[in-house]
Amino acid sequence: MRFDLLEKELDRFQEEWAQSFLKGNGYMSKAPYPAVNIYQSEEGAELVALVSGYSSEDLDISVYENTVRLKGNISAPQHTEGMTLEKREIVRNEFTRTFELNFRIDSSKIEATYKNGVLRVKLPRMEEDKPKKITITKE
Amino acid sequence: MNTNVEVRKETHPETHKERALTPYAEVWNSDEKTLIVLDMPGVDESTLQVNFHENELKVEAKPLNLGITSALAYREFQLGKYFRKFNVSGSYDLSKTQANYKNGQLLIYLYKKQPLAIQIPVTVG
Repeated sequence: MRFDLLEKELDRFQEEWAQSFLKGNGYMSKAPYPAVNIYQSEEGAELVALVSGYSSEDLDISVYENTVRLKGNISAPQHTEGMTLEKREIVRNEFTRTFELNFRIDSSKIEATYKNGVLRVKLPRMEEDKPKKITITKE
Repeated sequence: MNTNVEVRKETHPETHKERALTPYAEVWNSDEKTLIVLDMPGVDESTLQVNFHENELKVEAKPLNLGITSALAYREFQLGKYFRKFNVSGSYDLSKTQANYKNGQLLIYLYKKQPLAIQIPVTVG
């Protein structure tokens, strides 16, 4: 299965992420949009995004045929009202991430859950796109 | 009042042989308090520990088990144990310290000791 990311920033993001994590400095990614993993099975795919700092109301998921789009909006944090920012390492922006899968998504069966800054979106395949087992008859 | 939180990045703490992720942080300040925000998505909240000892604030947590059995097809992150230390100098009332985990962020509120203000009666003669 192959996933084509539509965003041009992917290469840059992957390079930055690889440098920041895979090469061993142990830091979370500092990319300006949430990191995403995608898992696959015959039943479909699951998109898992790290969206800490966004509430579920800040997030919007839309699906069209084989494409899933995740959008995040920023609402002003209430816990910092009246305070001055002294040190900043966290980057949080409005973002849009779009992923194209190699099967059509059954939009009537999508499930999305959010817990502790982790968004999980289950994207089932359309029934007719699921792998079919072919019975071989003996001659 | 002079207060300061030094954001220290400790990638391979000596006391933790297990590899740990260093969460990114923000430090906010006001006259009354200092707020440290830590980006820690995917934490098992029952494992969150915030300790303060001799001007050192230590935060650690273990990740949630996502329980995903499907094959990984595309990867940008890997959840893991979080660990970070902060050096805190200044006058804080530690008994008022609060920590709250919400939407994948840990918010630690350190309240500053307010200067003692008393009126000294002046006697004459």
